[in-house]
Amino acid sequence: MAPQPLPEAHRLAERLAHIGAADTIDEFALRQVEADAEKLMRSDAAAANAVLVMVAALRWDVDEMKRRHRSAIRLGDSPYTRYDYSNALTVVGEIDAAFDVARDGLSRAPDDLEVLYRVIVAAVLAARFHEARALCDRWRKLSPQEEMPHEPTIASLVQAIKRGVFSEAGARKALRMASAVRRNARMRIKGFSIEPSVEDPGEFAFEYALIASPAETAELNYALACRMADSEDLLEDPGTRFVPMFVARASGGDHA
Amino acid sequence: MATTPEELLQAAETFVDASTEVDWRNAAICGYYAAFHKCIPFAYGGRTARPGHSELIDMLARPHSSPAFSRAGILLRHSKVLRERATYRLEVDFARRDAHSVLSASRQVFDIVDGAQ
Repeated sequence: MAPQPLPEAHRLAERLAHIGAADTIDEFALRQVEADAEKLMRSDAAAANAVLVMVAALRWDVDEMKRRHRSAIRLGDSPYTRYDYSNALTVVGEIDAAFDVARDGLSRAPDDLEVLYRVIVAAVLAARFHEARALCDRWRKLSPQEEMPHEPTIASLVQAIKRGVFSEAGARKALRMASAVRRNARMRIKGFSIEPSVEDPGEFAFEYALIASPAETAELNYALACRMADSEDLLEDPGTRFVPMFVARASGGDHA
Repeated sequence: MATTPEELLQAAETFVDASTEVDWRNAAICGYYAAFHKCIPFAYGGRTARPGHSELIDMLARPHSSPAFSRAGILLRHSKVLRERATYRLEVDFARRDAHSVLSASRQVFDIVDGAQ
């Protein structure tokens, strides 16, 4: 059987992912996607609005994002509408809302692995490690053969919390602060990683890979250090046992 | 002192301009140790001390310490993350931009310490 062509909305989402991963947003390409989404409006208005949610996110236009999401839900509410919106909220650094929306999507599609993956990632980004752990258990039941890639890290984080190295609430505060710093600077995220310390077991660095230069991330790290230094409760918990930081990941050949 | 933190930072800046990943790893390691040694007299009031890495960071970034202390501690912690990667994670790419990140943080630590004295 010949492979079925991808739905138009899926193709537009892939184009947006490509635009969003570039060092600078190609506004011309973004407008082309926007125009194609407007055309799609005639046949699948809900999907077209979901595409326009991400267009707005890449322009960091949060009001437009919310407006388009409301339209998408009104026109045809699928779990993927919430999946897309959760992604868009992550782009603009709204980590708590991104988790809430993803979880809402999962309640509508409880057996969907793709939606479950999104909720686990959103939970980690919002420092909801115990919930992420429970969701990993659910993943294992749904897909015993396929490992959830973040599961070992989530287990280590939960273990550190159980041992009292830092609290989940403390880690959450630290990630909220880092997200606020990133939002203020409107820096796009390319990915994240959680690095356990080799020399000091139980300590973790939460690295946001940003589409930015080392000079830009240095400014953000300094701003974050200033905010953390002004917050007595953050220095108490998580202290430097769970530290968010920004690393530069603009594309470009600075490898040997 | 036979070698100063400033000399370590200078050496790191030389390494970062070189062209191999080994040089960039050396830049990160040297840059981190420059900031580490710069902070010791700052944290311990000029006395000769031999703290471990986490001990020094904890000494700086503890509750109720001055903002300058805490900032230096948090930035040193950031650098330590990348220095650990440069030292232990040979299987993971280490880019020039990673070395630049350590150097930027080290320069910020130097500015904080020099500004506070």
